[in-house]
Amino acid sequence: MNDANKTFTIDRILIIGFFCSLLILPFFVASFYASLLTMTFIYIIAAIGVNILTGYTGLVTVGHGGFFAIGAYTTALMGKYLGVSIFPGLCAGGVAAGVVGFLLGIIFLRLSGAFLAIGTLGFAFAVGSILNNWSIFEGREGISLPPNSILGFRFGDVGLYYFCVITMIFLILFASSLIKSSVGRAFTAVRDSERAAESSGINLRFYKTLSFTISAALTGMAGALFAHHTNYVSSETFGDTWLSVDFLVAVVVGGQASLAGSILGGAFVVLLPYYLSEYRDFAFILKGVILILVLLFAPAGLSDLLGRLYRNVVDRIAPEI
Amino acid sequence: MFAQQIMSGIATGSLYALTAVAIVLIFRNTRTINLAQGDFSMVGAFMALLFSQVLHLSLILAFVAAIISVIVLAVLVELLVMRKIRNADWLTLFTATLGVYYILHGLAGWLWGRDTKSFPNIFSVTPVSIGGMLISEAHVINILIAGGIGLLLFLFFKYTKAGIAMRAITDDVEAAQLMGIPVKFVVTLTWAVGGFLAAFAGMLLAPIIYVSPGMMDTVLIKGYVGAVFGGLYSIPGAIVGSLLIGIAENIAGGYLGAQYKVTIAFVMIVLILALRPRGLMGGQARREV
Repeated sequence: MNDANKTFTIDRILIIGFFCSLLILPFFVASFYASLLTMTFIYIIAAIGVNILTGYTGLVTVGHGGFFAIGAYTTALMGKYLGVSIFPGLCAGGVAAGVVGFLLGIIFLRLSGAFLAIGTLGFAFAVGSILNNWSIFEGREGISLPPNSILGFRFGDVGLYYFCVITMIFLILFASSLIKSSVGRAFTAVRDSERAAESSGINLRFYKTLSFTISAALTGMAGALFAHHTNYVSSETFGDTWLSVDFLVAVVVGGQASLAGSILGGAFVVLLPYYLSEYRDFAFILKGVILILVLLFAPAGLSDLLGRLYRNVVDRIAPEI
Repeated sequence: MFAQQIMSGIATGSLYALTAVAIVLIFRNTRTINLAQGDFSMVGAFMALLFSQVLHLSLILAFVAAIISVIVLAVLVELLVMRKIRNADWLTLFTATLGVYYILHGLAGWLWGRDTKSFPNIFSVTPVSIGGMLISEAHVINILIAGGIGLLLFLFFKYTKAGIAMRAITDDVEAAQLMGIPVKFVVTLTWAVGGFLAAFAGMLLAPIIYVSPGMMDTVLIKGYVGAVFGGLYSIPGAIVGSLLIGIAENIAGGYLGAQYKVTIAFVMIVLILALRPRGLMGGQARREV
């Protein structure tokens, strides 16, 4: 067996093993940890959304907290007024965020680099101030969601854990096949050189807007899951622009243009503040220090660092496979 | 009434301009969108409180000490972090300043607490009458100080060697290096000027918005709007943009209700970027970022 095939097989076994262990994990840990891990999966989905736009297409966004909020409020409002349950709410949240993402993509079509970052930051702030001021969103009072159920069956933390883990696995499979498809190659071509991409017949307008739409829809779905996780939405959580910044940090720390990176990055931004929640200011400091250290010493992100480490280990312990 | 709102808009706008100009200066010399600019101001306000209330220095001395400490902070950020990654892509530079933001935010919360503190009102708020308009003395003094700093910057860039070197780096780094300009030193100087402006912004805004770790978050965004107005390149553009935001949010606050004060800046940012991607006063042919 040649080298590429060897690592490919081991990779596959490890990836499938990782996802399977997530499926049996609730049998071994308290439901409290199930709830924390659910939060991690939600951030991972949001980070994958940001990564498609920022990592793969090269359009930096600091405004995806806005799409997260749109997804969350779509399902919250539908739950409150129409009695819609989690699955239709999730789909509707994704569609609503996708539509807004499509429109924003068109508005910001000519922007790139720092200008796009500032523009998307403005978008996140605008969403935040709309949530605070329009009466239907009930500002800081917030909206409570009905208890989670599917086809009339109610479920608690562990049920939501399974719902989120399956959604996450499904979306990761979707993202990885998207990236390998011609669409994904067009995205990376746009990122590497707009001029070269355009001259090889790639329609810049189409692919940039498409990337914006898909990325917004994924983050919107994460937002919808978040709303069902806390069963409550308010402008206090979703009006906060630093939500958008957290997603970008997840992508940069984990590794741009890497799905494994988004998994690591999502876990980083959820678990670090959680384990330091009693020392909130210290968590801030540590987050900043780790961010800077990653940028200084592992500019391609944690996934690249761990990936190289893992290759070394594989070569050492299993040279004969 | 209307003229009065424009006047007080200019007064707040001139304080936003201090942030906007610093963002432009640092961006055009280092490609860095400085997210920590607001936190430099926040540290400045806290240092002024520390020197005046804990160490009991006189106000003037406390302010000078606060300005010096913010300049030192900005220079340290450049030397310890930004210099090491100066050749990286702009997203790396941007997220590095985000790291600095987190650190300063956490340090301020840890050392000084998260509750808001009041700041000594140096200038009385009693209104004075100028040409038939009533305007508070603090507003007049803010405009004068911001204007004075603007004049100082103009003279600095026009007549001093350091200022001319800074402009040379903006125009063409390689050519500047070939002409014997110490690029690294001038970049450090750029951050020092950013810190100087931040200290003034923090101490002048503190009596209005009070002192807390997150005090500058929304001001920073308004500074970005001003900076984008000048295409992240033109200093006069950034100043005009900041004044326009100040005026627009005051008029919106007066006629639509106070909650729209915040919204207006974001409407402006989206409009400017959608209609003129390089800013209203930004040049057309610029290096890509």
